[in-house]
Amino acid sequence: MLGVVFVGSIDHGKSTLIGRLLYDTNSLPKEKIEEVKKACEALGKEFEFAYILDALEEERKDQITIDMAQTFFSWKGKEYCIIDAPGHKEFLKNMLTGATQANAAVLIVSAKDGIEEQTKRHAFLLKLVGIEKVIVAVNKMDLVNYSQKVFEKVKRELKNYFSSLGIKACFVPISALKGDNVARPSEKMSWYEGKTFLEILQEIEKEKRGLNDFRMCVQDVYEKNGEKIYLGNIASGEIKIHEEVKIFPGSKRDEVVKILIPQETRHAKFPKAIGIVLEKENLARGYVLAKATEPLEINELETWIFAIDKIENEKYDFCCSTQKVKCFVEIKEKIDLNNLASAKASVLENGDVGRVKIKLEKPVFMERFAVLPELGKFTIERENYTIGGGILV
Amino acid sequence: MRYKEIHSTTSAQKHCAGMEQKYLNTFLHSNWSVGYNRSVNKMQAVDYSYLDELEARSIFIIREAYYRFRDKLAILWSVGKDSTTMLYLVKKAFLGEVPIPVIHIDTSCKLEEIYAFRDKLAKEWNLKLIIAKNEQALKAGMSPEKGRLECCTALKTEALRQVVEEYGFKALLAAIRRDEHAIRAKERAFSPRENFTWNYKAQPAELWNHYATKEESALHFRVHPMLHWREIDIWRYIKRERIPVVSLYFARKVNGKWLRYRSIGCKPCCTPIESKADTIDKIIEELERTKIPERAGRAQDKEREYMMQKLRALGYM
Repeated sequence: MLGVVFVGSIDHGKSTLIGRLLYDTNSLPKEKIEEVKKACEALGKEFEFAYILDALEEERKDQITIDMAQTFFSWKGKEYCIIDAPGHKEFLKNMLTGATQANAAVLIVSAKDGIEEQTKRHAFLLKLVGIEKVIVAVNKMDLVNYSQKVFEKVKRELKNYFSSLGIKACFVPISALKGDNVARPSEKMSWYEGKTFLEILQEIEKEKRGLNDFRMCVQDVYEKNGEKIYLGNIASGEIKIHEEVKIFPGSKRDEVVKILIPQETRHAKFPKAIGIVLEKENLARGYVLAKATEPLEINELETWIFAIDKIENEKYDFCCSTQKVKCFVEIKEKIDLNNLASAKASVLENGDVGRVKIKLEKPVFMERFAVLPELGKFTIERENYTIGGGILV
Repeated sequence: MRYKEIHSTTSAQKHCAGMEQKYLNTFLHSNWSVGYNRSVNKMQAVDYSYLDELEARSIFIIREAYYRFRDKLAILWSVGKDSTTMLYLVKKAFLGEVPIPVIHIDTSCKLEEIYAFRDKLAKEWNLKLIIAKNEQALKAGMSPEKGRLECCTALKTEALRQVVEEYGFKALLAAIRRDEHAIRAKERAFSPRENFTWNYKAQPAELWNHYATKEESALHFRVHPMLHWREIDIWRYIKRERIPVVSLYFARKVNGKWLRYRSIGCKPCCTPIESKADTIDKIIEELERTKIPERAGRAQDKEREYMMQKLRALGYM
């Protein structure tokens, strides 16, 4: 299943495009359409495609997506999890909640309103959560007389922005409201010779990531019949009984005595959630197990992060998978998302992107996100509350 | 295959007297054993290996909840297919044991088979079962006739509130899925409830699988390990893992009609669908074709606009 998040500025038509997509591919039950019809009538409106996903009372009344929603959809043998993310800056944490569950993204830009700061913010954030496959749907073409000139202008401007971020994107002019180029080619845009939105979506493949070696982060220790069992999900590779594992931190070696899934087994591989019994070492949550190769030992990190709450030059928790270590964040600069210029800063607020130096009190063991997302992502927490995050590039 | 609803129900009373009760009794008491997996051996057209990923994700969430809340964590078990699958995953997560207490909210008007199945499985899996009832409301004669929202609030939400208070639970595992309802599509895996309400306008961020659980004394959490499963995934997994389920889900002939429940719960508010699917394979086949929503037979979802939202905000499972 491919996770696709729909992002973009408020009112540019994310929920409408998803509604249209589900409607035109005949993916909606009759009951759902009737429910939306009734809700529209009650509010004295014409049929709203956006209501298919915007199910909260406030969302419908105010015509705004407050929180992300997920829906399943299959087309020509492929299965998708469609994630609708809110566009309003206030709900950025909800957009990121959606985006971190996705493998690809659709960025929606209204041809009528053009590229806005929030469009660029979302584009940058996609980069910061490791999404590299992006479809740009230039929406509301019906409101600009299906003009090729308008489409090309948006495309040119955004293409430049994307290339400076290192994201490759493909562009399609659509009208989600009227259905042009969504699931069927538009007669009104004969100048467009490319594929429809649905055809482009069809071509996206989920990239295969992972190491050849074994990795597992210990999640918990469970005691049964006087035996300590280390619980965790295999993040990569496989493990066999009597094999030697290397334990981080410490680089100690130990032998695997038992593998439980939950019954005893001789070997287990990704993505199994397992229990491991070792010969001699005593582990706790947060230890990382490997076999042939070693994970990257990180003591200090200079990187881009996004903030979903206030981040200052302060002490916080650095989290990567089940590892949690105290860290000191030093903010270097903040980026202006409109022109990608950066300026000195000492505080980041919700929605900001900044360059920071993170000093860890103890080493954390990671992999590059492009290699192994499970060990390549990190979040920053203040008292068990997530305030920001990023990836190891 | 085409389904249609057999009848729409309006009150408990209607069910508890006359023809419909007779019909229900026939349905419930004709020769059925507690339903163990009725799958027939047949070639699988779909590659079931994708279920490993769903399973691993759920177990991660379950273990995460147990790590954070330990003996302050409980499982909500409605005895339906989803929460039974969740229970099975808890057992798998802790290597054959269910170390977490299991709460069954008993409204006293569940379909009879549910009780038999519950007691049998509780014994077999050695569950620490807590049965919670709002005795006071039951004595006062609460029923859907007094309004469905009122009935759900009294017999489910209030009963749950009482048991959570009595045992001091800080978090509850609940088997809701995103594909059940548009409101549930907006849920988080770790969902804080302040004074039992779901503040859907201010849900915390949940990045990747990092579940932040800010701990405050007034806060309790709903943890949702099954959120990413679809109805069909549940059935495919039940088939693969041979998980026992209540036989109400399987079709049989009642008064000349083939019927089965697609979603189970309280007698007055659940209606069977017309279906000939009497094996797991046939249910899976049926789901591959249908577009009718799963909860179409659940009266409380349909009653009023946004009722589901209100029920969730109130803490109804």
